[in-house]
Amino acid sequence: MKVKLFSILAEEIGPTTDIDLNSEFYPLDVKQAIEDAYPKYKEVLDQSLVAIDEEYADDKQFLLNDVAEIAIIPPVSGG
Amino acid sequence: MKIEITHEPIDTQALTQSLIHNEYGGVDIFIGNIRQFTDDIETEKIEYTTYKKMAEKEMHKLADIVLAKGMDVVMVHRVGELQLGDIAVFIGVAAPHRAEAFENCQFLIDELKHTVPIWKKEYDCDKIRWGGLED
Repeated sequence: MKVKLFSILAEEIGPTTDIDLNSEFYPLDVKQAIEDAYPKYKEVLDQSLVAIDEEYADDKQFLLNDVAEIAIIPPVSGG
Repeated sequence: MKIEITHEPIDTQALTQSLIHNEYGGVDIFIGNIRQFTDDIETEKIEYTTYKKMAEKEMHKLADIVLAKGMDVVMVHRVGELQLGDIAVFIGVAAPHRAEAFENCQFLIDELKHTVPIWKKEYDCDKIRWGGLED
């Protein structure tokens, strides 16, 4: 599954990264998979949220088949 | 009502004018621009990036809260590379009376800073800082 990356993660890893997810997954699994591939970014990922289909995801379980887009949202800093 | 994320300079005059209606007696506007000094740290420029589709959705959610109270709202954020003095964000609320215009304008900019996926990369004289991240 492709995951969109932003801010420092996009600049240093790339605009997307591919991860393997089970058919049922939790948002935390997304962060863990990226951390496993890029341990250097653990601190950034710890501060980040997961967005699923352009909505902040809470701790509930998601079905991979129902999901179109996943993104990692580092701490926002607009304004 | 207008919600936009744009690469273009923000036309504050046109946006302000769009908030002037006969039914509203007060318009409150917040403009955020690129500041040179933050304490001893000197900033040269800031590059803003966004997750545009989600950012506009989040801005609509915030605007809807204020629109539901019978006010008018403008929220425009510029992205790309901005220089000192450039305007990064324009928030305007038109309301029947000033107190609610002030209050809701502050609500919108405060919440935008918390929830809307826009990021700044700050080019300071000593180093690059990513906004929002703990050093």
